[in-house]
Amino acid sequence: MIERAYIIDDDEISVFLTSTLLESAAFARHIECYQFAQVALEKLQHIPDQQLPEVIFLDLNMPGLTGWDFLDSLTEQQNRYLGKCSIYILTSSVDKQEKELAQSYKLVSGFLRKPLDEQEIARIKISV
Amino acid sequence: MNSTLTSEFYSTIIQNSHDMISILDPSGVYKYVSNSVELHVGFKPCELVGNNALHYIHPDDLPYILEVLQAIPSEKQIKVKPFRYLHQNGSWRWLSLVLTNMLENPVIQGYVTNAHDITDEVELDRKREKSEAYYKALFFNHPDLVFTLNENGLIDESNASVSRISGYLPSEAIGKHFTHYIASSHLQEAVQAFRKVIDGGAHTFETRIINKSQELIDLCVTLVPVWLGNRITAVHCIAKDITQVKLSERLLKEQAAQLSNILGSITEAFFALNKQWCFTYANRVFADYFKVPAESIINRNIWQNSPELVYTLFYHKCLQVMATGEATEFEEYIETIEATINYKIYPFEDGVAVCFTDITAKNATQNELKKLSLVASKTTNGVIITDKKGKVEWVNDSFTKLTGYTQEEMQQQDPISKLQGPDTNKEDIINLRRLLGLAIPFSEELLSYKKDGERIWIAADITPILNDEDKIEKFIVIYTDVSDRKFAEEKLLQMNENLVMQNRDLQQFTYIVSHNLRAPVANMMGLTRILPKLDINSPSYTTALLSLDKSVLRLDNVICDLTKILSVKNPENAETTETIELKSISEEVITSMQDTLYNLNATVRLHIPDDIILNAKRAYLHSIIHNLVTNAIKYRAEERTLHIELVAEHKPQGTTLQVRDNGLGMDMEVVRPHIFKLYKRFHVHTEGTGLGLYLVKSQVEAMGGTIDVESAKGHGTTFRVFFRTQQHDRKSVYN
Repeated sequence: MIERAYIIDDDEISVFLTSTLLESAAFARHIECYQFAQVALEKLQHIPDQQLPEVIFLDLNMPGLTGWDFLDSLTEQQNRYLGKCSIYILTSSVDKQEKELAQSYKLVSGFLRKPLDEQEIARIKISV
Repeated sequence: MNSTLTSEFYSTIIQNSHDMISILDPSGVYKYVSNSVELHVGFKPCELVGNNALHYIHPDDLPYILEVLQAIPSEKQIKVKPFRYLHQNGSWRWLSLVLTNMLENPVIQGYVTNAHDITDEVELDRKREKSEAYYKALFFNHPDLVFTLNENGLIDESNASVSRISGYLPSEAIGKHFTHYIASSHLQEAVQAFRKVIDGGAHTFETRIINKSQELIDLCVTLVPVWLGNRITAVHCIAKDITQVKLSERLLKEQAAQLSNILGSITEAFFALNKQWCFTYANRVFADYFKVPAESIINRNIWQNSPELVYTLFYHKCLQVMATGEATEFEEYIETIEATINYKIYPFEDGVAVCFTDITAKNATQNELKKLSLVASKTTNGVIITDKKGKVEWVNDSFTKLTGYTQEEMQQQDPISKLQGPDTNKEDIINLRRLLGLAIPFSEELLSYKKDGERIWIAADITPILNDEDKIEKFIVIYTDVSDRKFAEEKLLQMNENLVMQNRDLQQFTYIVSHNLRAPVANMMGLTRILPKLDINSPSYTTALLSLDKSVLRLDNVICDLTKILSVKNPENAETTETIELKSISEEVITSMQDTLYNLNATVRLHIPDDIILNAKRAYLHSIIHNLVTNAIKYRAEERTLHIELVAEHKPQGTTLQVRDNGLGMDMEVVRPHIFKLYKRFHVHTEGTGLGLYLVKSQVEAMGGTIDVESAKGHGTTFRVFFRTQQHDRKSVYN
């Protein structure tokens, strides 16, 4: 079981779904949910390295700071996060272009389509 | 002593002397008369002796002789002036007489007369006097200039006329050489004339002198040599002042030359006929035209010279002018010379004068012009002819049909200014004017306006007409109505723009499908999957169930939104426009939202003039206002009471409606590129679906309007909708 996972998504239902699944799969000891990417970003920038989440589930389509903006901000300091944080894009989008764009970020470990399912969670658990 | 000097000797001498000698007593009675008396006066001495001598004296001379007789007693001798003495034949003889008083002489005791007959001399004298008087009269009083030169040419004498004409008194002139007075131009000739007369020939010549006032005077001089013995001793000169005559002659000559020049320089052929129809004059043009020397036809009868003319109209017209004395002008085709001639016939005192011009070429040009004019006026293209400054001189009927402007309305107008309108591209006009200045033919397309304001696209082919110096003289402009093509092009562009827009819409659609439509679906999928695994009594189960419900609702909302957008985007379902009062529809919308506004304690103020009427789709207009007010409510600032203002303003080009609020406001730098996009939301905490503004924009644009937004974070937002004034010719691509 990993120590810490973040869910960043403005869609409450989606957050509920994802967190419920992760809990039932015993994915992490601490699951932190953020409705605003801005809040999550600020937190990441201020916590010590050992408190960084091993996995971040990131939605792309959000008001204010979008998933892309969030990725861009982390990429500016990507050496701090590489190897420590695995970011998984979790989106309802079925757009191919978005998938390709997401995979061009080094910090992005995977591109997942909503809804998240148990097999997927199990696969991530193994890879982390 | 000489023994011959006896009384006998003396008596003999006296008796034979040629002189008449007599002795008178103191009373004048002859005491002695010598024989020679008979020889001179015809009386024998015996007939006279004893008679008184006074009886024989001419009565006119008698008083003088009596005086002499009274005087002689106290005188020794008197030389008596010539007197007349009676001849025996009754005539009078002139006698010259010396009377000697010898009363004291005892032998004589009387007066001795010694007379001789001088009748011949006296008569000769008389004759000479007369001739001299004649000469003087002739010489001095002659009205012409009369003067005499000696054989060397010096002036001997001159009369009064010489002084009068020359200004020189005789005292000034006499002794001077005649050449002194001759004008230098005539000097040589005058010297020759003098030499000629000296050589013995009287002759007359003309010369010119300079008078005292330095004026030139023309003289006609006759020179007559005066012979004395075998040689010429003088030259008589008689001169007439012919200055005036010469002047008149010169004037006449000049006038004649001038007239001849005038007639000769008339560019039309010209000739004159006298009453006998003979040529009296023909000018150079006439001669050149017929290639005959003008002199060759002078005095020839025109009808005999060219008999074929008798059959022409010209012949009849000539007769007519001669008869009526009225001038005429006409044209006639003359077969013999294959030419059309324009004649002008004028009557004058001595006959008729004829001017004529060959107008064959002119007629041909005119015919060609007529044809060209026909082409220009009947062609379906508009044709304009302008002067060098581009001001209209002529337009054809098609131009009037094309633009609605008549020839009179276009006269002296600048067609570019006249036909341009608000939508005409100003750069096109500047370019057009620049090209006009280059004096080269060119073509331009220009959006123009008819008289009634309708827009037409015109293709103008402009050809400058240059004169011999390559300067622009005129422009010929051919106008073609290319509106159909241009409007089709415009339509094509518009269609292309619409296609781009639709393409963008399609991308938006993909986005909706991939995010907003799929998001609730994805949630539903996830929820249905976990539901069976959750404890029915756990709070998670309840949450999941509620979430499922919410997701279904959201899916439904999205589908409804899409339906609305599709109906706006689909013109097939478009309602027709109607006239709507902006104020009343705004009030309608506000009333429908009254409850919400009341609950929020919000105030709405309308600043919309009563007379603003829009030609719009009622549902769209309703939706636009509703959405904008809804937007203001959604994004209100919690810390202050919501205040909304609807402000409208009408201008000729369109109507602006502003919806202002004092809500949250947005950071325009961030928002501007995305605000009217589908499912873009800028506020995190509200219930926005992200569709409203996109829908508003679609509806505004469907009615040909525009929308923009101004906002300041923390202060409020203003949406500004602009409805363009409806134009009849601006049709939607869809229609």
